[in-house]
Amino acid sequence: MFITYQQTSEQSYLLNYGEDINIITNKKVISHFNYLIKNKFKYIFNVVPSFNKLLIEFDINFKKDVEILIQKLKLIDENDEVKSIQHLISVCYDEEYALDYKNVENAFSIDFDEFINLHSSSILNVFMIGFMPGLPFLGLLNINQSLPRLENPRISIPAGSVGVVDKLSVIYPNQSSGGWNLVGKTTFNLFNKNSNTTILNPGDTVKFHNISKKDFIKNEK
Amino acid sequence: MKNESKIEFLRGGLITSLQGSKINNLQHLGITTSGPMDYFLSKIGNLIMDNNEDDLTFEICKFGPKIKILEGNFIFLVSGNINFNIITNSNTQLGKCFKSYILKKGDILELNQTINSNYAYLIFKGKLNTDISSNYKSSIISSSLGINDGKKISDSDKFKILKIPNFKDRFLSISLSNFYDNKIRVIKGPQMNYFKISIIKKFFSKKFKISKNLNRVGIRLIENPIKPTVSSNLPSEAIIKGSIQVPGDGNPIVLASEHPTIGGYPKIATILISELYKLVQLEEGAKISFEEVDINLGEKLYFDFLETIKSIQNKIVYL
Repeated sequence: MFITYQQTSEQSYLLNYGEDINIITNKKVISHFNYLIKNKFKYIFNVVPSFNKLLIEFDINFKKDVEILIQKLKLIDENDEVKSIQHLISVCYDEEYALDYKNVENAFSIDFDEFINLHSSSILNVFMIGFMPGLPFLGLLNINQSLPRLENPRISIPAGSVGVVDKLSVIYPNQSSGGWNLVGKTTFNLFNKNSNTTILNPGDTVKFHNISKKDFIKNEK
Repeated sequence: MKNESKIEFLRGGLITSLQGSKINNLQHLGITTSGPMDYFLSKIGNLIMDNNEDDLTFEICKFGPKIKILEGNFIFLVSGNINFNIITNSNTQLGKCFKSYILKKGDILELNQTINSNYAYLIFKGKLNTDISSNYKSSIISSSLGINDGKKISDSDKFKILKIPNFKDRFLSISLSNFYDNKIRVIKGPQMNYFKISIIKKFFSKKFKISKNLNRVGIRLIENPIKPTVSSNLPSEAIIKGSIQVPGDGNPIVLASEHPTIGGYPKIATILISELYKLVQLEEGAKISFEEVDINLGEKLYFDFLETIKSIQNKIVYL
């Protein structure tokens, strides 16, 4: 259940489900997201989940309907089964791609091999997709130390790069600028341009699989 | 009169792109809404031409394209404030905005610099071939998605225009300059409480300057830093067009048509839909100020805005 909600423009509400980044809160967000997507309300333009919030963008002529819908959401059982698929994603953690491995070692006080172990043995939750088409926000890594974004974000990060900040991980679907610490690279395709679909969806899980540079290069072809 | 034509861009212009209606229902995949930056001008232009108000247009940024008519007739109107020439049989005639023209095979339309503005719209009669084959009704240049694969128009691009209806020449009898000013009305943003009262006062009382960082993604404002106090980062959340987000250095970014779908900076205010089109037209160096209204007034202003657009139809003079 969301705790509060506020109107953030003439045609949007932002529902708040809690302050922290955690899986329980996110599951509540995702269950309401799935409900709204499934029902295809004609007066809703966009429904966008994030860690702890849900944006509903609507046709202003139907504001009353949206208000009723939000009240109704309160009654919708958030324990509804969220359909979840586990994806296995091969990552090459070679230094050529793990450009920020030193930041990781310093911030987490472990050597990079231990980090690879941790990163590739965790089952990570897909919290949301966004920022750019197909980019998944994944977590949580079992780490308590903080690893901030780069002070000077890179102007260009190659597509497929895997980044880490604190307990979270992302994969850049396309070449982009960005400030996440790079720890590896994958050939996994995140976004299907022809059908406008993402392979990962909020509520899914991801397990990374450590592969050698030789295998990675083979996959790239 | 043949109801098809073919045009070639002899020059693409600085950033010319196809923009029509907003892209909906894909933001949860990371796909932004896009659409025209100055939607007031694109809607007005379309209505003058008896198109639907969100029909596809060529959005011109700063420096326009040069177009040759290869076949048939090209019926157009320029909505904006931009210098342009019409070249027929090596005769060059200065064009007028908000007035329709019919060009014939071999004629050339040369759009040059925008005047005191950033965007202008080339509105045309008929259906573009790319429009018919695409589910999208706008280009997203920043992610190479949407109509025309999100590509800006390049030199020597060709388009076919189909289903061109019969047409009567016309022009708009009033100036739109009264609909533009530097005072921008906003409502409270989702994280206004991340800012001290004194900073919020500063936000509304002092002027910002439009920096050189302005494009379809966002507009950076400078010279009145308003640093958030609570934290410069929050768990990333969905963001919307018109939102004013404030990074750690205190220089706000106004989110425009191609904004990222998710962001983690606190947002002090949201610019009203009935106001944002004014801001996107302001050039580097222009000064602006913000004024707060409550959401009820914001909604009323939105409906007034729609009425204003419709009422322009009464100001069309047919020739």
